[in-house]
Amino acid sequence: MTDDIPRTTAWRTSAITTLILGAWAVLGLRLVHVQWYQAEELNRLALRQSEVEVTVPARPADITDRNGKLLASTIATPSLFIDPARLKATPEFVTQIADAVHLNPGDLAQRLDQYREKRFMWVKRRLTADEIDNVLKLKWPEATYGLRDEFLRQYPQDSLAAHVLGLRDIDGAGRGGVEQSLDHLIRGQPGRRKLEKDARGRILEVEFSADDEPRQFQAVRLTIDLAIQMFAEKELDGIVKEWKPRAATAIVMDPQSGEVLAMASRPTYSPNDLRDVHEEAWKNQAINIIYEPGSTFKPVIVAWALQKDFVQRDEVFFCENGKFAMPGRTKLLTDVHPYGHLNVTDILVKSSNIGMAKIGLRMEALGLYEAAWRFGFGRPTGIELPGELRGIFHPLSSWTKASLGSIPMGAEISVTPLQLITAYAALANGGKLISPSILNGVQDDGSNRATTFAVSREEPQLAQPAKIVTKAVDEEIADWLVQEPMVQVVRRGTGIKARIPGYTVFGKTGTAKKWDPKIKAYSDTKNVASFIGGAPAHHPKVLVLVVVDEPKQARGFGGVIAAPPASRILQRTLTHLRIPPDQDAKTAQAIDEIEEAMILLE
Amino acid sequence: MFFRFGAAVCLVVLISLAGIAIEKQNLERRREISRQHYRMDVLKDEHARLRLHSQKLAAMERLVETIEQKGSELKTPEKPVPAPQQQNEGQLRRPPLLFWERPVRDPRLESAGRR
Repeated sequence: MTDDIPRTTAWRTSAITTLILGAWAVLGLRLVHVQWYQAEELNRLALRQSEVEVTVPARPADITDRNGKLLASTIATPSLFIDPARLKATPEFVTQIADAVHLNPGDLAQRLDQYREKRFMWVKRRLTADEIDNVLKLKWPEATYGLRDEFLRQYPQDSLAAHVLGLRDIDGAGRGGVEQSLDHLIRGQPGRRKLEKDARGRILEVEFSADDEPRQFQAVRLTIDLAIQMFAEKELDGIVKEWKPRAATAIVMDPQSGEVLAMASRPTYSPNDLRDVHEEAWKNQAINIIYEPGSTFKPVIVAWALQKDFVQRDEVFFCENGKFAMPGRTKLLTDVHPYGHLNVTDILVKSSNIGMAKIGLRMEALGLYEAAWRFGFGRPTGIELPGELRGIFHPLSSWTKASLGSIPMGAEISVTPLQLITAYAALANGGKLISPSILNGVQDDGSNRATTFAVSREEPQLAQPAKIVTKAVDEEIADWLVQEPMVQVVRRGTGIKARIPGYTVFGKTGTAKKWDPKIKAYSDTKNVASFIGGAPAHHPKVLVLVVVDEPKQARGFGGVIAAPPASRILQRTLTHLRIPPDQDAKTAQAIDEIEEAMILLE
Repeated sequence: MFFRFGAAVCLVVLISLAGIAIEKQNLERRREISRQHYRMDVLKDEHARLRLHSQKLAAMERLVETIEQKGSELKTPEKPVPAPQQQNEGQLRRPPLLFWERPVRDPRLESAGRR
């Protein structure tokens, strides 16, 4: 039968069969090539097209006071963007958006014109809840606008502790205060998430991995006590209202630990509303300005003089009846009142410049230099705040004979308020100079994941700042200075307005003339009034410093301007901290009667 | 022969269907996990927002203004006002507000209701 099939038909059948088999063979080879030879590369390509990695920003840590009250927090809030190429920027449209998000229509129209060819333009970042509602009511066409969540930093206590906190700018970077200096603890580490998309770009799946989640502390805790901060701020408001100074500052410190319980400055600002902020308001008057401390520097000199046996406690000096022609000075050195013989205690109580000059002459330049250096002047304290000044402390080689009279009375040296209160803390705690601190610790997010921030591995929940402690003077000398002369300053001296019923208050007033560069001399109308004090004297728990720069009253004394508000801050702080009075009622009354009698006699 | 071939095909199909069902379940679980993470993010945002709002309401300056205003309206009573008598001897004394640190959770107080 096969002989009957024509040869051409058989040939065609063979050819077609060969072709079909060949085609299948090619497909099979191609399959092998794709599935085996190119498998890895094609898998990689497919993953690259379908998987997208996005950065998940870390929420900045909250900032709280020492009792957990919120000072700063972050919320997610939408920012409005549009696709300018898809929207027609008619005047009506521009007015609509401007009204909805409270922008200037002219500025918005200008920006829309600049971006008209672009596909993305921010309209406004971080909208409020009202603005979001207004935008949604506009009912724009889809794909012409969008809302993207961004973090907004808020400060619920408004302007309280503004200089301590600083703020975070539009890009989330810390500017000023702890927002800047502790940014490495606050900002956290962003995480990553992998998204799987289909061919149309729609997200199919989000891959979560615990190791790739954003990492941040839950809160950074400061040493600030919000109640004490408020006491200080209220008193500064009172000072501004009454004396209209150029600036003022108040610091409250625990002298035993160096922790700053309050730090307030005027002028100030609200970090929630940065419109019309005065240039001077940005400065933290506690660390960003320097001034001549005046008489508040005297106890420091006396402490070192006693330490080095330049003077004895019961030694008496002749104060030249108020006028002293000191060697090296062209002008007479004067006291406010003429004094004859004064012992060391009374030199401080009466704040005699002549008495201090005589002590200075005995100590000579090296002794005075050592005194200032020993108590931390001339260098930053190391507090965890940015921009701290080191003060002006001239090198020994530039001192003159007149310096021996000027330095002991707090002239020719410029300090920051924080340096001064830190030095007094050394006197109040038995002679130890402790670096002040504003950071109390950090609170982790409880996830038990290892953190790589500057914390100890053993205690990841807390980050204790390094404390530097050096000995300034002997405990006996520090205690005597606080419990004797400085208590007498408040009992019968220049600090009489700082008395608090029931408490033994110690302190020192300061009234320093300011150097006027125009007349190249000390001004008679501009001065700095200050008072620094604490209680209870036998074991000081609270130290308060108030500095008032250029009160609008000629020769405004520290005892009149700064002592009363400092005393009120101190009293309220002692009550808030439940520190009991150290005088019973009878003793307090008896002391009051004796002091009043002594004042009358003087 | 056809029976065995048919049985083999059915078996392969059944195994494939089972595999697909398991994979679908797996995908559904993963989607649910993704949704949970998303809900967690939303809840964290909401928590931060509410905490901020509550702290703003309890801001020191607001409380001090309120207390100072109300303090000026307070009048000293002519006679001392006696403290309310304890009705139930077994009832615990609530700690004074000044020293209150945590809410005292006592089932007896909760069942008796707030005063």
